[in-house]
This record gives sequence, structure tokens and C-alpha cells, in this order.
Amino acid sequence: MADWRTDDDIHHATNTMQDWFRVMCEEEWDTRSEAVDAAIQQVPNHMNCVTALDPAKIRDDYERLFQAAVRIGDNDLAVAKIRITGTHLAAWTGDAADRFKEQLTVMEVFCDKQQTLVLEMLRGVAAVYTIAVLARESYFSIIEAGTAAAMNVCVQQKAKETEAKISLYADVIKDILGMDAKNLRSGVANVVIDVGKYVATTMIDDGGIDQVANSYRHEADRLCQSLGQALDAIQGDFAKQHEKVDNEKPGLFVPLPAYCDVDSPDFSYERFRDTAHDPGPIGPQVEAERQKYVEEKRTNDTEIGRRLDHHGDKGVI
Amino acid sequence: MSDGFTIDLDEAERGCRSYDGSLPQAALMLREPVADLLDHAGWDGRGRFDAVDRMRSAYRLLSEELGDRQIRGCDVMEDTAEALREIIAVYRRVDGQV
Repeated sequence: MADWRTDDDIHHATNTMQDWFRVMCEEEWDTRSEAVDAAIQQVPNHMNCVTALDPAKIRDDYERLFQAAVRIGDNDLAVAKIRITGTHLAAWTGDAADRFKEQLTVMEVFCDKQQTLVLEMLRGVAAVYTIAVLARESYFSIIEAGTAAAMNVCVQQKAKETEAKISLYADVIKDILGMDAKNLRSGVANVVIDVGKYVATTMIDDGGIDQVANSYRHEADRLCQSLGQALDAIQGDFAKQHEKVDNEKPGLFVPLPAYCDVDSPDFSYERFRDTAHDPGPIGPQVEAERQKYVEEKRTNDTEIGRRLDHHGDKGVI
Repeated sequence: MSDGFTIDLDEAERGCRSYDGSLPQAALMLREPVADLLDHAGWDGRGRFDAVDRMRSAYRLLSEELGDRQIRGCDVMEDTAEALREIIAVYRRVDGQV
């Protein structure tokens, strides 16, 4: 059984409510009511709003993204691989060697930051899931209350309770988006806060045909309106995060200094030397081989370029 | 001196060798979640609501940005390994002369 009102649940419930609205008209005055016609006409729009999101798909996406966040920020094996790279470089010293070792630390920081950013995005996904479920529940409650009110009109007494429970989306969203993203856990159901405390009650007026129809329409319209505002708030949160990510360049993206690159004349043995060899005699040899290496690379590049161009492939790659 | 760089270069190479070096392997592992960040299977239900479309559009932009950033981070890790491999390549040539 799903943890939310399914499309079929809502569809059947609205059919029942509309049937009772029609029965109400026939039994009460045997006449048409413009208010009832207007309410029934709006039912498809209300259903569109509350069933536009599929909680099952959001739940699955949440879990997938949560596992991705774990594999980015809590990937013990990847972190171990990064750290052991530093051990493999332990014998090397100098500015460039130090910079490479620092870069390994920057990589770990990058992973940690990426995880935080993914979790912050995931917090928004949890908010979307929550209101998707609550919107269905609230609308279902309005339909049940509308049906009960129509039945009361038919029997001309207060035989059924016409109270509807509607969630206060703005408060729910505010609290979920305000959570510490680091506290998110696997399974979106574990994230959802105590939604029971964000419920308001409202009555569907069962004082007559028009009152029932107008009351239903008013409450359902209000529900769709507050649902739209909640979704816009989440959209704003996603946009704000996007802007933050866009403006925040990680340290890992800062290019390594030219002296870390053998292609650059700034590179020298002194800057990447092992502890056993004095730079004195080896330094010039390294520089001579470096220059030859760069020249060979350049020639190879040119040769590859020439061949590709000859075959007409250049520009495709 | 007569041992050349061999031992130290072999050790350094374990960190940056293509495919099985520790750094390229770390990059490979961290690249795996990228597909999950870029996958937009969709949250659509049976209904349709403009506010949902707007929200999903903002979500897509954000997740793509994070996915691209993860790709770039892994690229930098691989580039770092490549830079080390080039240094090792030069030193191996020198090693033959020591």
C-alpha cells in the first residue's frame, strides 16, 4: 500500500463527491445549481494540481541522489586512494612536489564540499516529496468533507462531519529547507518532519447546495494556490543554490602553477626532486631531457594533426 | 647515486599510472555518481501544474551544474595524475644517463 493517496484514490473520491453533488441537487430542489456546475467544472483543474507530482518517482530519485552523495563525500575507498597517492610521492620534495601533495588535500575538500551541495539540493527534493504527499492528502480530505456535506444536505441534518484537514505548506517547506543538510538520511520518509503539527482544519459549509459547492471550490482553490506558492518557494531555493554553486569556484579548479608542468620552462629538478639526488649535477640533465621531451611532444602533436588533416578528420575530434 | 631514480619513480608511478594508479582510480570512483546527478527521469504525475514545471526547471539546472562540477573535479584529478606521469617520463629518460 502506498504511503500517499494514489491517483486512483483521488479519482474515485472525486467521482463520489460529484455524484453526491448531483444527488444533492436532485433531492433538494430537483434543479440545477450554477455553484455546483462551477465546482464540478473545477474538479479536473484541482486534480491536475495535486497529482502533477508523483511521490514514488521523487522518493526513488531521493534515494538515488542520497547514494550518489554518499559515494562522493563518504567514499572511504576513493579517499584512501587519494591519500595513498601522497604516500607514493613521499620521496619527492620541492615546490612542485609540495604543490602536488597539497592538491591531494584539496581533492578531499572538494569531495566534502560537493557532498554538502548535493545534500542541500536533496533537502529541496525532500521538500518536494513532502508537499506532493501532503497536497494529495489535503485534497482528499477536502473531497471527503465535500461529500459528507452533500450527504448532510440530502438528509437535511448534520449526519456527517464536514471538517477537512489541510496542511500548511509554507510552514512545512520553511522547516524542511531550514534543516541542516548534513542530517539528511537514507529514505526520504526518514527526512519528513512531523507533518501532523502543520495541519489546519477547515469546515465545508453544509448549509445548502450552493454553500457546499462554493465551500468545496473555495477550499480546493486555496489548496492549489498555496501548493503553487510552496513549489515556487522550493524553486527559489533551487535557484539560490544554483547561483551559490555558480559563484563559488572550488580550490581544485585553480590551475596548478606552471612549475608543476614539464611543458613549462618554470619546471626544474629543484622543484621536484628526490631526497637522494643533489640538484647540482642532475638539474641540467633534467632540463635538457625536459626540452627534448617537450619538443618530441610538439612534433608528435604536429604529426598527428597533419595525418588527421590529410584524412580530412581534423575538426571532428 | 648509481641506483638512479628507479625506486622513487616506480613508487611515484603507483600513484599516477593510467587505469590502476591510485589517483586515476580515485577519479574513476568519484565519476560514477555523475550519471545519477545528471539523470532526470522526471517526477511527473498524471496531472499538470505550471508551478511544478518551473520548480523542475530550476532543479534540473542545479543538478546539471553539480554534475558538471563533479565531472570537472574528476578531470582535474586525472590531469594531475597526467602531470605527474610526464614528470616521471622525463626523469626516466634522465635515469638512463645517471
